[in-house]
Amino acid sequence: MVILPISSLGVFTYYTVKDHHKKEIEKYTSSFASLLASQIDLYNTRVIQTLKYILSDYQEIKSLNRDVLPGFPYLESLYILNREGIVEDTHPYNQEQIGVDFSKRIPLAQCLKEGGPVWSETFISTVTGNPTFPVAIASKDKVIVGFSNLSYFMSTFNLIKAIGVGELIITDAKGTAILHPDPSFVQERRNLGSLFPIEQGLKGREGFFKYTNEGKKMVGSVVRIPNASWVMLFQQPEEKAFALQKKMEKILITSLLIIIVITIIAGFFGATRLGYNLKMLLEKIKALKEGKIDDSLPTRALSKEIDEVLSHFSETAETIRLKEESLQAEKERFLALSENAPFGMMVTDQDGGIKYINPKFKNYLGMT
Amino acid sequence: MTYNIKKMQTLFFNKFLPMYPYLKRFWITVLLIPLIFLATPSIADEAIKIGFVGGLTGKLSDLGTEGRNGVILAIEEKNAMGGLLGKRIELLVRDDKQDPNEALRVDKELIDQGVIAIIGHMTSAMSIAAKPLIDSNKVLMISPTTSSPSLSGQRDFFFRVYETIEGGARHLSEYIIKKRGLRTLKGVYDLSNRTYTEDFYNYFKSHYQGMGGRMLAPETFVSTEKKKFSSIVKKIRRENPDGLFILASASDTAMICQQIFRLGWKVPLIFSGWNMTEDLIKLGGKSVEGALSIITYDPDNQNPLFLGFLKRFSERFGDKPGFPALCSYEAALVLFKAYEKAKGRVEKLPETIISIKSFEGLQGEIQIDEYGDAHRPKFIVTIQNGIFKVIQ
Repeated sequence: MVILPISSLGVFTYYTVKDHHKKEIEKYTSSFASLLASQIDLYNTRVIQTLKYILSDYQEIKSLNRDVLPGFPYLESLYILNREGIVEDTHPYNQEQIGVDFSKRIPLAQCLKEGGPVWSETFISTVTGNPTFPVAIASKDKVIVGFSNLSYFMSTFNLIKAIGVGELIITDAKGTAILHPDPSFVQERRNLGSLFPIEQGLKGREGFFKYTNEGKKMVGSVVRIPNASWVMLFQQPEEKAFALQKKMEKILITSLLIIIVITIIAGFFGATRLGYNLKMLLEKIKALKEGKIDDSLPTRALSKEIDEVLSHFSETAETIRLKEESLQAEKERFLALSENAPFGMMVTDQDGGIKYINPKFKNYLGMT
Repeated sequence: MTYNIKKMQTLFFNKFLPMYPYLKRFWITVLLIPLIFLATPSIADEAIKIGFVGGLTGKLSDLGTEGRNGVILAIEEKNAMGGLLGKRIELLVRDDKQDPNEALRVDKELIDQGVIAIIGHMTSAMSIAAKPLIDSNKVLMISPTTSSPSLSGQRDFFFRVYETIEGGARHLSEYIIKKRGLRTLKGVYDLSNRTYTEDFYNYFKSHYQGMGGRMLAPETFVSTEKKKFSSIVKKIRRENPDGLFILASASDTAMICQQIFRLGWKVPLIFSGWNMTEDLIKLGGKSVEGALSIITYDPDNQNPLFLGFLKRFSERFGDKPGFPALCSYEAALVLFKAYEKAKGRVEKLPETIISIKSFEGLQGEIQIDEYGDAHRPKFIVTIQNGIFKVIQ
C-alpha cells in the first residue's frame, strides 16, 4: 500500500524535473549556438571590413606596400578583378593568375548588382587543391575577392572540440560542409543537405531539433550565419545532452525496483514467518486442548507480537494449571474430610438434585 | 556449539524447508525478469552494404565527388521505396586519392566490410590497379566512368556503364577534321591517369592521321607534381597548331585554358571528355568557351527519367548533375536490377547483368555485353555561355 504513493510521488517529481531540464537544455544549446554563430559572423565581418578598406583605397595601399596582406590577418589571400571578372592582381602575388577569368568562381552578376558581400559556393582551388569559399565585394571599377584566414574559424572550432561540449558543423548555402569535426567531410565536399537540421537550416528554419544521425540520437541547434547564408549546426548526442536526466531516470527506476523487490521479499518472508508462528500457536493450543500443559514445544517466535501472544498464552496456561492444581488439592482435602466424617453429608444443586452423599449418610439411608 | 547446530537444524527443517516451494517460485521469477529483457529479440541490422570508391579529394576530385553524389541519390531513393528486396541499403564511401596503393587499400577495406559490390573507380588508372584484387575476391565492380579499352573484352568481375573510348575517339577525330577542318593538332595530357589519356590519345591519333590530320609531338605533365602551365602553353603556342587536344582533369584543363586565355591566344580547344564536369566551367570560366568534346551525356535530354533525375539531384545537392553523377546513378540502378533478379545471390551478380543485357538508362538504353562493357549513345558537345550544348 505504501509503495503506490511513494512511486507516484517519485514519478511526478521526475516528470516535473525532466520537463524543466529539457527546456534548460534547449535554451542552453540554442544560446550557445547563437553565440558561436555570432563569433563566426564576427570573423566574416572583419574580413568584409578589411576588403572594403582595401577596395576603397587600393592604389594608395598598394603604392605603400607591394604585398598588402601582412597588415590584414583575417585574410589569407586576395584577388583584384575588373568588372568582367578577369584577375588584375593577386596577393600573395601569383603571376600565373593575372589575366585569368574568375567570373564563374564567384557569383559575379549578383556581386555587381548588389555590391556584395557575396559568398561563393565551395569549389576546389586550382592553386591549393583544397575546397575554398571566398567572399566578393564590388566597387564602381573593381571586384575584390577575399579568402578568409581559416585559422580564426578553427580557433573557435578547436575550442569546442577541446571542451567536448558538442560538435560544430557549418555548411555553405548549398549544404556542402565547410567546417566539420571530421576534416574529410570538408575535403571531400560532402553535402549534408539530407541531415534533418541542416535541411531545415537550408530552408531558412532555425531552432532546436531532435533527430537521428547515422543511427545515433542527436540534439542540436541550427542558426543561419547572417550575410554569408551559411548554416551552422551545434549538435551533441542526446544521451550526452540529457545525461543528468538519464541518470535521474536510472535512479528513479532503480529505487522503484528496489522498493518493489523489498516489498515483495518483506511480504513473502512476513507471510512465511506469520504462517510458521501461527502454526506454533496452533500446536500449542492443540497441546493445551489435549491437556499437555508443558513447555516442551518450541515457543521461540520471531515476531515480537507473536512472541507476546505466545508468552501470554503460556502464562494463561500456567495460571490455569496452577488453579487446577489448587482446585484438585481442595477437592482431595474435602473428600478426605467428608469420607471420614462421623456424620452424614449430602450436597444438592439448586433444583434439589443430589450431587454428593458421603459414606456415613449412605449408611443412614441403608445404602451399601 | 551443539546448541547452535540444533538451532540451525530446527530453523532449516521447520522454517526454510516448508518455504521451499514458494522460494523456488520466487527466485525463478526474480531470475526470469532480466532474462526477458535480454531475450527480447534485438532488431538485427541486416543492411545490404554497397561500396563507392573514387577520388574524393584534391584537384581530380570532381569525378569522384559528383559520382558519389549520384550514388547517394540512387540509394536514398531506393531506400525510400523500401530498399533492395526489402532490406535497407547502406553506402560505404571511400577515397582512392587517385593513388593506386590507396585504391587497393580502400577496396580491400570495402571487401572486408562485406559489400555486395563496389561502384567505382572513376578513373581508368584506379580501375586497372583494383582489377586483380576484385577478381581474386570475386567481388563485382561497376565503374561509372572508366573508359580505357585496356579493361575491355575480358570475362572478369569488372563491369562498366560508360562506353570505352575507341568509338568516341573515332567520332571526335572525324568531327574535328571533317566539320572543323583542323589539320594540325597538339596534344597535352596528364600522366597521372595514363591508362586513359594515352589510350585515348593513341586511338584518336591513329584515326585522325588516317584521315590526313597531323599530330604534333604531345606535351605531357603529371597532375600531382608541381608545374607551370604558363610555360607549357607558351611553348605550345610557338608551334602554332590548328587546335589543342587536352586530355586532363577539369582542374588541370581549366588551368591550361586560363593560361591560353590570358595570353589572348584564340585556339580551338578539343577535350577528351574526362574533364567535362561542372567544375570545368566553374574554374575555366570564359577560357573554356567553345571547347569541343565527346561524352555519353546529353544535358538537354528530354527523357522524363532524366528530367526527374535532374530535378531531384539539383534539389538534393544544389548543383546540376554532370556525366559522372548520371553514370554513377545508372551504375547503381544496374546493380539494383541485377541484385533483385538474382534474388540476392551475390555470386550470381555478374552473370545476371550479362543475362539482362539491356538496361534502361536515364537518357536511353545501356547495353552491357558479355565482357561487362557498355554500349550507349555518344554526343559531341561544346560549351556555350557556361553550359554544355550538344552539337551532334
